[in-house]
Amino acid sequence: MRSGGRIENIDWYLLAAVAGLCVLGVVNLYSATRFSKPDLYVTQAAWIGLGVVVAVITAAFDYRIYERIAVPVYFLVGILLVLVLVAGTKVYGSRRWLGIGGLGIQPSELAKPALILMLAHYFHNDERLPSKGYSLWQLKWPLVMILVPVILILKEPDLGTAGVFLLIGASMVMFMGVNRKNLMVGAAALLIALPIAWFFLLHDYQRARIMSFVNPGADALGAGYHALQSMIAIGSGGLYGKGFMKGTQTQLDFLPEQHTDFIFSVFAEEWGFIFASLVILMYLVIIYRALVIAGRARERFGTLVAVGVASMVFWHVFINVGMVLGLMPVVGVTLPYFSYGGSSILMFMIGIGLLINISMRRYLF
Amino acid sequence: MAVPLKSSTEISDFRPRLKWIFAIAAAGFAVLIFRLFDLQALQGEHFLQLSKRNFVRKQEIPATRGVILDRKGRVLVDNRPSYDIRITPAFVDNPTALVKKLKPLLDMSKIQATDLGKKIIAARGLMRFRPITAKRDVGMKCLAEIRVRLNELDGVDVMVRPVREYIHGTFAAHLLGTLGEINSRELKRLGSDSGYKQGDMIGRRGVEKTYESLLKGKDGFELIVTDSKGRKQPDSLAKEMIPEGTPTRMEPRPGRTLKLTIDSDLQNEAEAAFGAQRAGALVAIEVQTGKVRAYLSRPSFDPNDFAQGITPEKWKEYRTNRLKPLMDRAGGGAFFPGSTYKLITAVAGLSENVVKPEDKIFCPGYYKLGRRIFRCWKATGHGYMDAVHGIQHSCDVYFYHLGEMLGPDKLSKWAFALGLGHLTGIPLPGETAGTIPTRAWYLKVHKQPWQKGDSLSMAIGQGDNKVTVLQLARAYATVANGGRLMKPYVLECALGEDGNVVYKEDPVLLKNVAIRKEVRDVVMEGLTDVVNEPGGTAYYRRIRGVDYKVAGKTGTAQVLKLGDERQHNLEEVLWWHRDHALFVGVAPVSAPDIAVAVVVEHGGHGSSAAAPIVMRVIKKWMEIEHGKKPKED
Repeated sequence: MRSGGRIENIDWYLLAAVAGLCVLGVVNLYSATRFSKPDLYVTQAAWIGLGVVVAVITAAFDYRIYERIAVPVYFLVGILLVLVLVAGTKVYGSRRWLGIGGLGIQPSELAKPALILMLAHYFHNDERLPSKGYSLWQLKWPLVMILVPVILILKEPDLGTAGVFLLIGASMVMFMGVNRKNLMVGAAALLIALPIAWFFLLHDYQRARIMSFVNPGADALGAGYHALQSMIAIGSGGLYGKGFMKGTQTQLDFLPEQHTDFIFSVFAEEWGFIFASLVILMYLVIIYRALVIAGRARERFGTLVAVGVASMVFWHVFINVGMVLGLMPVVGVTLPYFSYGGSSILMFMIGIGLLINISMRRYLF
Repeated sequence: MAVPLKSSTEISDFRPRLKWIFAIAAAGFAVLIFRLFDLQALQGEHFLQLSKRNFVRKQEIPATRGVILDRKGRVLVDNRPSYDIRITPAFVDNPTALVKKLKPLLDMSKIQATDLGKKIIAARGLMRFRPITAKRDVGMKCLAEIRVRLNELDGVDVMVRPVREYIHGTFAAHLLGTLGEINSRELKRLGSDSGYKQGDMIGRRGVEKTYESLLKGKDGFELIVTDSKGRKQPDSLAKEMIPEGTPTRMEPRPGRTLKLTIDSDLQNEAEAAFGAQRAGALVAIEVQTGKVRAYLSRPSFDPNDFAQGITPEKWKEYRTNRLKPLMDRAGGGAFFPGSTYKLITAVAGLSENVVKPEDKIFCPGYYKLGRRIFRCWKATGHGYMDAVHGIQHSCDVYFYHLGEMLGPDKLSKWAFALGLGHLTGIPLPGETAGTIPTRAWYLKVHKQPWQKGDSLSMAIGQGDNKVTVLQLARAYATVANGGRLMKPYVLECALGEDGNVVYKEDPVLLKNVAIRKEVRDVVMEGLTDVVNEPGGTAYYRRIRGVDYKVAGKTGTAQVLKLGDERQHNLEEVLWWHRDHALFVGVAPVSAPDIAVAVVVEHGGHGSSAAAPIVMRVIKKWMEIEHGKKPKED
C-alpha cells in the first residue's frame, strides 16, 4: 500500500470550478463589505489560503487512513459540540462558536466532514448490504450517529446546520439503499414527528422564521424582512446586474448578513441572472465531478465519502440559494466558497481535499 | 488491515444510484435557476422599482411660516427653534440604562421615565426606526448637557423644529390669532395637493387664520439616499444611486412676511392704558383709510400656549373662565352703545331736518311721552339745549325729542348708513354684526309692534341696539371724514423673500354716506365741546398742554343681564352689576385722522373709566404720527 497518489489523476475540472468560485467569492465579498468591514475580503483570502493548505494535507495522506481514524475524529468533534454548548461564545442568542485564541471556529461545520467519514466508515465495514435495502432497525446505529450531533446542534440552537446534518446523513443512508416499506414507515414517522418538533423543540424565533417564509411581505420589517430584502436585491439585478459595487441593496446595507448567509443576493444583484446561474452551474460541476469520483473509487469508503461530500455541497447550495430566492425559510446555511467565514471555508476545503485524495488513488490496486 | 474492495454487484448497484443522485441535484439546481429567472427576468422591473423606493427617500423640508410685522416693520410674530430630544429605539441597546441616564438630564418624573422605557422596548418592526420624542422644547442648559453626553447616549438625537413665537405674549392676541394642529376633517377638505399633511399647524384665529395661504409657504423636498436604518448617506454615494437628471432638491418657499396696519407703539399704549381693567375692548382706526392701528380685547390670552398644541389644563382654564378670554370682544362683542349712540341720532335728526341745529329744546330733567315719563340723566334738567349743547352735555331729553320725531325707520336707516348692524368686513374671523332694531325685527323678536317709547330708548342707545367697538370707531370716523364709510383692514402688504411686495391691500370705500357738511360740522363741534368745554362730559379728561383738540363722546350702558350671582362674593357681585363704560374719540379736530373706541366692561362711567384710555391712545398717536408731545409745565 502506497501513501502517494498520481498527480495526473487529480480532477482538474473540479479544481477549476472551486478556484473560480473562490475568486468570484472574494471579489464579491469585497463589494459587499467595502464600507462596513473593508478588510474582510483579505481575511477571507487568508482563510482560503489556509483552506488550500488544509486541502493539500487532506489529499496527501492515503484516504484509507481516514477510514481508520473516523471513529476518534467523530468522538472528538462530538466533544467539541458538547463543549460549545458549555463554553461557546454567544452570538445573536445562540452558542455556535468556540474561541481558540483570537479565532473562532464553528464545531458544527467541522462536524459535517466528520459525520461523512463516520458513516462511510460504518457502511464500509458493513458486511450485510441487503439486496432489498436496509430496514430501519438495521439502520439503528447510523441513525444514532446522525441524530446525536443533530440534537447537540439543535441545542445551540442552529436549525439550519442541524437540518443540513440530517440531510447529508439521510442522503448517504439512502445511497446505501433503504427498504421501501421501511422508508414509508420512516416517512410516516417523520410526519408525526414534525408537529411534535414544531411545538416542543423549536424556539419562537425559529417558528416565526418558518411562518414568515410562507408570507414574507406580511411583516416586511419583522421576520420576513431578510427574505424580502434579499428577493428585492436579486430581482432588481435583472438579467445583466447593476454592475460591480453598484448594487443599491448591498451598498446601502439593506441586506442583512450580506457577507455570510445572503452573499448570493449581493452577487445576483450586481452581476445579474447570467452570471448568477453560471455560479449555480459551477456548483453542479463540483457535484458532478464528485459523483464521477465516487463511481471510480475502488472501494466503498471512497465512494461513500465522495457521495457525502457531493451531498454536503448540494444541500448547502440548494438551501442557501433557495433561502435567498425566497423558496425556503431563512436558516443559517452558508454558500460554499462564497460566504464569509473560516469554518465554512475549511469545511469545504477539507471536502475538496477528500475528493482529490480519492480521485488520485483510484487505480492504486 | 484488509480493505474490502467493492464487489461487482456493488458497483452495478451504485452506478445507477450515482446517476440518480446527479439527476436529483441537477433538478434541484434547475429549480433554483428557474426561480432566479423568475425573479430577475420576469419580475426584474418590479423589484427594481422596489429597490429604488428602498433607498431613495423623499424628505420634506418644511417651509417656515411667514413672519408678522407691524406697520413699521417691527416683529410681532416670529419662529424660534424648538429643540426636541428624540430616541430611536432601533439604536438603543440597553433601554433601562439609557432611561436611567436621561431621567436627571431631562428632569423626568419616575412615571415619565418608566413610560419612556416601556415605549422604547415596545417598539416593533418599522416602528423601531421611528424616533420617539422624549421631551419637547428643552431649555438651553439641558440641551448643552445632552449634547456633551451625546456619545454615551445611544439612539438619542436632537431635532430642531420651528415653533411660532408671539414676541409680546398676550399683545393683540385676538388680532394676531393662534395656530392649531390640522385635523383630519380639515385635511380632507383641503385635499391632498394642498401641501398640508398630518401634524402641520394651521391658522385657527385672527390674522393667522385669515392669511393662512400667505403665511403657509410651500414645503420643499430633498431626495436623500438612506441605508436600511434610514441614516443619510454621503452625497457622493447619492450621486451614484440617483439617476442623472432627477431633481434631487426643491427648496421650500417660506411663507410671506405680513406687514400689518397695527402700530406696536399705539398697541402697547392701549394695552398699558387698559391697566388693570378686567374686560373690554379697544379699536383704533385711521379715519380716512379704515386701517386698524390698534386692536385689543380683554381679558387676553397668550397665543404661545397654542403654538405647539395647547395642553388640556390650559384649554380648560381658558374655556372655564367666565370672562371668555378667547372671545374677540373688539370685532365680535356686541354691547349696548349707551350715549355714544347719540352721534348717530344727532346725524339722523339734523340730516332728516327734524330739527335745525340752532333749534332749542327745553330739558326740565324728564321727557313726557303720553303718560310715560322718560328721565334725563341730570334730574335737575339742562335747560334749553341746541344740537351742539345737546351733544356736549349728552342731554337725554334733547335726544328723546329727536327719537320721537325720527321714528324707528329713520333711526335705523342712519344707523345702517353709518355701518352699524352690519358686518364691517374686517378680515378677521368671528366678527359680529350687532343689532339695529327695525319695525320688522321688533315684531319678530318681541311679538308686538314698535312702541313710540322704543324710539326714545333707541335714540339714547339704551334700546335693543347693540354695536361692536369696531363699528363705533368706524361710525365716528365716517362722520369725521364727511361720510366716507371705509372697510376696516389690518394687512398693509405681504412681502416676498427678497422684501418685494407680493400682495397689497388698499383702502376700500364701501359707500358715501350723504352727510351734509353743516351737519358734520355741528356734530363735530358738539363732540369737541364734550372734551374741551367746561360742562362737557369728558372735560376733565382732556389732554392738557397740546395744540390739538380731541372730539369724543362718553357712554355708560346699563348692564341688564347678570351672571350667576351665587358663585361670587359681594365684591364680585358688585363688579358684575356695574355699568359698561364707553368712549369714542376722534383727533385732531382740525383734520381728524384717528378714531378710537373703547368699552370697559363693568367700568362704571364712560368719562371716568373709558375716556382716559382713549385720551392716552390718542396722545400717543399724535406723538408718533404728528410729533406732538404735551408741553411740560
